[in-house]
Amino acid sequence: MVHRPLSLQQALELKRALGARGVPVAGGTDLIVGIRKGRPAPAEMIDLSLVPDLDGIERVGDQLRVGARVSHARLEVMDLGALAAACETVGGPQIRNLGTIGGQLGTASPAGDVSVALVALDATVELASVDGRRTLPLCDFFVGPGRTVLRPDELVLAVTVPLNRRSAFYKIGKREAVAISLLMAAVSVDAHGHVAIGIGCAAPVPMRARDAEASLRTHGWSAESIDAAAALVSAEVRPISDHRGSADYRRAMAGAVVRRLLTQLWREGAPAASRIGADGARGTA
Amino acid sequence: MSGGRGVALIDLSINGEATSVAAPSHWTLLELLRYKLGLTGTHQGCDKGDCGTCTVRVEGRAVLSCLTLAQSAQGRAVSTVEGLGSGARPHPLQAAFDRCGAAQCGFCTPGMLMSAAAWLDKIASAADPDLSDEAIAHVIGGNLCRCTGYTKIVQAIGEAAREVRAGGVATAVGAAATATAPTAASEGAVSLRPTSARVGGRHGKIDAMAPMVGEARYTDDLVLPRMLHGKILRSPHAHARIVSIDTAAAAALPGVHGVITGADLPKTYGIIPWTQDESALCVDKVRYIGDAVAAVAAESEDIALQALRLIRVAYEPLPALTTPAESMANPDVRIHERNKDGNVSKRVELAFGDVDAALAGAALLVEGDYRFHGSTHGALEPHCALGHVDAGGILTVWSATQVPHYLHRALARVLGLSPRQIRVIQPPVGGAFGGKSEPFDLEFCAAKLAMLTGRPVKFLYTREEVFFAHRGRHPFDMQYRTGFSADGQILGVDARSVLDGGAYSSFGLVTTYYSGQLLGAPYILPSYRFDSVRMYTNKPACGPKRGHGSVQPRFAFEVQLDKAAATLGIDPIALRRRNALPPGGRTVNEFHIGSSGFLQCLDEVERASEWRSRKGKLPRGRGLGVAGSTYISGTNYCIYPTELPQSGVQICLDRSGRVRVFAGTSDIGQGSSTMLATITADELGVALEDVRVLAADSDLCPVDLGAYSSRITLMAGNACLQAARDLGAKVREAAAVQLECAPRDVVLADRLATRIDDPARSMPIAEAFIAAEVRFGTLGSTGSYQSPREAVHGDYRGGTIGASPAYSFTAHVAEVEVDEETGEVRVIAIWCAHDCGKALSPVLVEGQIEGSVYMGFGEAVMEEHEAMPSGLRADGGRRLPGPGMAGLLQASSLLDYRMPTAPDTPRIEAIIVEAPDARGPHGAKEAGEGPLHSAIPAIANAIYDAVGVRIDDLPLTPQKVLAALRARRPA
Repeated sequence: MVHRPLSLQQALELKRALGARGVPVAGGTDLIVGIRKGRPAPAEMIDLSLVPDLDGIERVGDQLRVGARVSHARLEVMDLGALAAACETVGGPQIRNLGTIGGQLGTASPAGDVSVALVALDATVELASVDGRRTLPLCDFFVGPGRTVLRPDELVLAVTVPLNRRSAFYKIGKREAVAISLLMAAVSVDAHGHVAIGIGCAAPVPMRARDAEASLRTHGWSAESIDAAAALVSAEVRPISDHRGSADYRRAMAGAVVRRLLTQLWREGAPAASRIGADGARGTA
Repeated sequence: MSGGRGVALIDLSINGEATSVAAPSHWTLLELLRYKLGLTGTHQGCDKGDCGTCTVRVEGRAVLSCLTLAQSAQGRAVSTVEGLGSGARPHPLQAAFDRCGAAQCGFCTPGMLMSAAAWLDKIASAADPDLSDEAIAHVIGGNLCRCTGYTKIVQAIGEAAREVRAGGVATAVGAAATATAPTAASEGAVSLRPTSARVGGRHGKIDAMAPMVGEARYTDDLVLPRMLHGKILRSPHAHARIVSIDTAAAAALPGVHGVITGADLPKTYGIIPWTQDESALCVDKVRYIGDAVAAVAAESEDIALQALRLIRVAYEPLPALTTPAESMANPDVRIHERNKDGNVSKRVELAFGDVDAALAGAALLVEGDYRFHGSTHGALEPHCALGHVDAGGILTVWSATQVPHYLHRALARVLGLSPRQIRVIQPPVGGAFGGKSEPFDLEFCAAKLAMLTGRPVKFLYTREEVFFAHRGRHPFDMQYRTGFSADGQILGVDARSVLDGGAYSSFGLVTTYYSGQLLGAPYILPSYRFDSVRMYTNKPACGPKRGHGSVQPRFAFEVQLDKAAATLGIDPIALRRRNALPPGGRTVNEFHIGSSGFLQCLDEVERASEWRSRKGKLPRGRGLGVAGSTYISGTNYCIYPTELPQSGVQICLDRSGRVRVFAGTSDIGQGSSTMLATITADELGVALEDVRVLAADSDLCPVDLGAYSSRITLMAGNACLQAARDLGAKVREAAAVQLECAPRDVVLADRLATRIDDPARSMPIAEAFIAAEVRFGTLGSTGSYQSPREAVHGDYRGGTIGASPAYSFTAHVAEVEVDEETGEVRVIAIWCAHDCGKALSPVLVEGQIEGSVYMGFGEAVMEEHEAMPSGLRADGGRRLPGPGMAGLLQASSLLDYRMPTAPDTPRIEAIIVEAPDARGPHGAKEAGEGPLHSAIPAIANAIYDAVGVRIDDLPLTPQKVLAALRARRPA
């Protein structure tokens, strides 16, 4: 059964009634992949494509609020630094036309490119149920591979990212398009020079490199402090070995990629310009 | 798709027409298009969003129809390739693809066109769009192509984009997005094709437009009344004895019409008559994860899948041998009980000259250990077969095969029928590359179940099953020792290779010979010895992939040469020139070389890459590498012993000036039908479009052995030339009477028969055909090809294997950039010069070169077909695998198995070199496999040039490059 609610209220009521059985669908890309892998098709689907207000991109003060149904394709062409660069590396163009931000977050893959960029941008996520809305930092949203704090009666409404940051993203895939990453990282820096570092494919969830961030806060920006931060990143990641690459290689790459991104932002920046969207390492902006 | 029940009524617009259609509520848009609406131009390549072949437009945007629920198209405008344009009124993209030769097998093409069309609409009126090749590569970044290397696709999209912007040809934009926009040139015209064809002209494929308008019918596009769908149950164990199979519950399921097991098809088969070690369904044991155990025919795929889950198989697990070392160390764990020598599938040792003395006296001895990993073909069309017993009792099997003749023989053997009771038809094939060059389980199952149920039965592999079927490149472990004189002359080569064969023999006997026999050219080897052993392992069977058996040794040897050049301080191209085997030469293993353009190939890549001014002068991290190679144009002998021709062609002329060519040849995208049409049109003076080639139907066509070992152009081309010349003589003789001249003074060209000494006197070709028919009766002829019977090979055991009527030659230069922090390698450009003897159709030859280079590049740096190791100890100690992972493929989807996308692919420059060979039709030799070989060592050698490290262990992953860089640095 596919339900097609026409309002957010209807969607939330359906979600309350169906609970975990009611699977929200927007782009549907991961859903069908799951079915092909042998998972049963969900008996109850809540098609969100007709719900208004989920596909807005709006500026609120110095923040950008992105609705859950916004596609990667819409974001990749915007001046959004790491976020746009990450969106551009997801799948191929056809996937990016279908796949949505809400879907990316709900899937909670440790290899989610966009989740890593959002974590590095200190994004917050907005969740809703018939009882009301709550907002929490995105890094508290992910619990493990495929698991989040989303309750069975909740839907992801939007993510909000600060606009007053410069940021950059880099992905070591083994393919330019349609690739699951070997490792990726995103770094953002705010007007005060405070740095946030997100790493993907290096832990069960998209993670923040807190030790490295703290070290930079203490020592400021220099070639030496960047080297030290990169070394801390390599120490604090917890990658696994699989056929895409060994844990050792991922560990080394986490440091190397973060060093590269920090150096790039440092050279372009200090004092940090008050805009997001410095050239990502992958050349967007 | 399984799961969800219920039917949904969906209202949508398809190519501008309002449509209302009922479909199961869990269906995807792809299923709706293909199975409800009959729009089979949209293809299924991977089932789950990894390949882009199913791309359609919804509300103008390119999306993957296989990931879109049909219901979500409710109220929307969907457009498919069928709505893009027609043969008479092509869309600018279709016209450009046709003109540029951008479609080979055509399977990915509809998806490519839809992605490109969405972009074209976007940029048609944009202020200053980016029309660079890089930008276009990103447009098709989600569409895999396995044939073209994307080169001509990017070119075609660029041409169409410039045409649309310059000519103001509006593509339809908006809700309907049907985008039907005929080019100005095509208004009123039937076709854009040239009206005359000569050998060597720049024409595209004769049948390129069919897939581009959704008209080509690949095997899965065929639907017969009352057709059943089949599915195969596969082994979850890498190695196990089958204790019992209980199919009762499956057979009782409503909608199931037939269930078979190994007991129903016990007769063994195998492509090589001496190694028939496979059965359609396993009889007593399974030998790899994915081995076929039972098959079901049911009214739908859903029911068939449900039935598979009801089959109970009791297995007794056996130790899984996942590497050749494990197989050697455990000869008592027999993968094939009746095999004579443990788990040795084949061993070949041959020696020519005194290698030990040569190496002992060498000024330089280069010794190296090399590893060539496994890779697979990755054709975008999954294997598919349809069986049907017709009213006359003839079993017809349509199959996506590249060897219909061998399939015909195998069907007769396994089903216990006479060949006269069987008809095999090969519909258009969506790429093969060696992956469809032997019989597979699904063909026997479709045939057997059609016989048992009395209804047509179709089997279509999932993408995972394609990875199981495999028959891809053998992993090789190689030890090479090469002796050189101080001035870089090769003195002797000693090679040892261990081949990882997988669970069955496949072509392995030949592979094992080829691993040594094909190294004899393009260099003079004064002495040579090889020892190759192929081991059975509990993994999908390896077989022939483009460049069968000789790509791996070529990698090792060309890196050996590069090491010698570096040590001796000789330019790597100069060292290769110094050792080149001359035309007409004889290899150390006694193969007679005809023409050779190898030195011209080296000259061409040296020039094109600006080698002399750039080699050694590039910035750190960037480098150039060179390599050379050779390949066969068919093998001198059929796979089974016979004196019969290897190729037969029959040609008929009609009274309208049209020509029909009947040939058993398999066009798998490489353009063999166009090759036959070109030779015929050239000989008979008609246009390409006047020639219809009817190929690969055993009821209609003389036998051809199939599309393997790069044999068709030389063999079928010669047969065709013979048949066409026979008819040409008759037409000239008849025309000469009317033109009042001698037959030898009549020229057939441009749809005219013309007096050579008086071009004003001519007659339409149709009238010349009629005059000939009046004179000789119905006009038909046949031609045959049998390879030379005189000695052109060695007189020793195995001396015929690898010998060919003619040899092609190739040289590559690759340019790379290495990121020393991450180990990432970016291949910037590859120049490939290939001696194909004579390019009958240069556009198609370029396409073969570009596709070969692409495939070599992919396996060099990205692709890997490997299974999980068992952990079995090589000392013979063993543990039983649990419900374990041993033998499980690490990558069995097109997401995990990384074939390069367009943005990954380097700039490829194809350079045609022509050294005509007396044995080839018009001098032509092969072009489809040779140009792959040396791409791989050229890249490895370029990495050394860039950063000074050797990676002798393929693929050239960032991880290995980084490890080598770090190992070199002082701690």
